[in-house]
Amino acid sequence: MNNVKIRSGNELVVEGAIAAGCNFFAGYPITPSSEIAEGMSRELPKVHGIFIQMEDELASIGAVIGASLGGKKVMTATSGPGFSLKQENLGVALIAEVPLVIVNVMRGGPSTGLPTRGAQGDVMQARWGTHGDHPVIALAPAFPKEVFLTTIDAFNLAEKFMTPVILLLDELVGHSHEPVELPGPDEYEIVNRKYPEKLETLEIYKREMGKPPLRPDFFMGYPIHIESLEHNDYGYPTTNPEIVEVQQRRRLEKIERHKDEIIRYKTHYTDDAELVIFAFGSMARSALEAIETLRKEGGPKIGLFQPITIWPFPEEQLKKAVGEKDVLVVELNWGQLVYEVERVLKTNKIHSLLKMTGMPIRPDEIIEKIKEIKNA
Amino acid sequence: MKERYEVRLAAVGGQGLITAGALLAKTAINKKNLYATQSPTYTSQVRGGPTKVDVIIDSKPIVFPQAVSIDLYFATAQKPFDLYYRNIKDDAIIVIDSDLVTKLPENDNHKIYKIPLTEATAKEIGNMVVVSVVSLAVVSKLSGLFTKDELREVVLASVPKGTEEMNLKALDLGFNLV
Repeated sequence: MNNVKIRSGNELVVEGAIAAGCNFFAGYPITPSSEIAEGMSRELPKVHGIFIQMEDELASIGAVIGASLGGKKVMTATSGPGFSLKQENLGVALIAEVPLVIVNVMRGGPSTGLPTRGAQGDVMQARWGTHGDHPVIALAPAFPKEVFLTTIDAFNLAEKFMTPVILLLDELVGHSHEPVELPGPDEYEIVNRKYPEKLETLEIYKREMGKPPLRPDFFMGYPIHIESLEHNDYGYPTTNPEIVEVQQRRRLEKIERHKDEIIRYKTHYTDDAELVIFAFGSMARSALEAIETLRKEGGPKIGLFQPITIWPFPEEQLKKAVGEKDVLVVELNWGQLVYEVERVLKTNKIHSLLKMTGMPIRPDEIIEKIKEIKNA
Repeated sequence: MKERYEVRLAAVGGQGLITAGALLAKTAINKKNLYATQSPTYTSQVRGGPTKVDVIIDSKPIVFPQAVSIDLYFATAQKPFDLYYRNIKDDAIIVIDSDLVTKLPENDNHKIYKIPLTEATAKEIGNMVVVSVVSLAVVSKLSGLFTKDELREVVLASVPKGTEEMNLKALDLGFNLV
C-alpha cells in the first residue's frame, strides 16, 4: 500500500477543503468536530488562508457569510448543538444566496446530549432546521476516500448553485482513523464561482427561473446590496407578492431542476438482492459488512442503496434501484429518513432498524434483523 | 495472523490507550502492509472517563471500523472493563491490569492474563506517561501481531523528542511482563 496515509474522517474534511480551494474558516470547536477546526488552523496559513476561532457558533456562520460575500471559499464546522445555533444565519445564507459549507459531525442529541457518541439524528434538522421554504443540499459520505471527495463536492455545489451546502458526517466517520489513498488533483474537478462578464445594472438577482444569481462579490467596485429580507432583483427589500413569488420559486427551482446533477448515491449488490437496505454514513458501512458476511455464508442475498446526497432526497434513484423489492431502513436515530423512504416507495414493504443509544448498530444486529424479517 | 484480528483496549481517559491503539494500527499498516482501522470512543471528561479504542487489522479493506468479534480484550480499569466487555469471541484473550481490574464476570471461560501493568510501570520506569507503550508491547506479544523490532521503529517515529529512551525501556518492560 504505497501512498497510503492514515487519516480520520475529520482530517479528510480538512484535506478536502484545502484541495477544493477553501481559504477562509471561522468556527467554534465542538466534539466530535473539533479536529476540523484544529486542522484548518494548521493548514490554512500554509495557503495564505484565514482561520478565525470565533466567540460562538452564531458568530462563526456570520463570519463565513461575510467572507463568502467578500469572495472567499468558506467553511465552518460544528456538531448538533452548534448546528442548532447556526440555523438562523443558515436562513440568511439561503435567502441571500451565499455559498458556504457547513460541516455537522453528528452526535447524540437533543441539546448537549451525548457529546462524544455518534448519531444520525440531524438529517431532518438539515432539511428543515431553519424556518420557511428553502432549498437544501446535504451530503453524507461514509468511506474515507468518499469523505475527501464529497468535501470537494460540497464546495463545488455551493459555488455553482450559490447556496449553503451541509456536509453531514457522523461521529464514527469523523473519528475513525483508516488507511486512505488520496486521489490526486487530476481525479477531481474544482468549481469556482462565476461572475458576470460585464455588469450593466445592479439587478444582481435577475436570473431566469431555476438559475442561481450571477453577481460580483463585495469590493469588486459595485455598490451591490445583500439582504436577509425578501428582496427584489436589486437585492432591496420587497413585499410585492409577484416579486416574492418569483424569488421564492427561483431559489427552490435552482435545486429542484438540477437534482440529477446534485444527487450522488451508490448501490452495492442490488441487482440480485431480494431485499435492499437503505443506509448512509456509518450505517451504510455496517450494512455493507452485514451484506458481505451473509453472502459469504451463503445466506440471503441483500443489497444496499447508499445515498450520499441526503437532500434533495434521491427519489427517482431509489425507486429505480429498489424496484418492487422489500426495503430495510437502518439509521442511527429513532426514525427520520424512513419516512422519506415510505413517502417515495409507496407500494414496497418497508422495514426499519432504528436505534440511538450512543453505540452504533453493528453488522450482527443487522443480520439478526434480516433473519427476523425472513422468518416472519 | 488470522485473516482478521480485532483488539479492544479499554481504559480511563488520560492513560493513553487511544494512542496505543493508533500505534497498533500504524504498525499493521506501515510494517505489515495490512489494512487497519482505529476507532476511539471516549467521554466528555478529559481525564477519568471510561474510554475504549477498537483496532481492526485485516488482510482485506475494512468495511465497518468497529469491533464486532473481539480477539483480544485489554482493560486497565474496572469501570471501562465492565462497560466495554461485549462482542468478545469465545476463544478471545483477555488481558487486565491485575491491580485495577479485580472483579471478573462469573463463568468467564476466556484465557485471562493478569498483569501488574501500572505497578510495574511505576516501579521500573517511574513515569506513568509510558503506560500506553507498555500496553502496546503487552498486546503485541500476547496476540503475536508484532515483534519488538517492528514496534520500535513506529514508536520512535511517534513519540516526542527526548522521550525515546524512556519509551524504548517501556517497550522492553511490556515484552518482559508477559
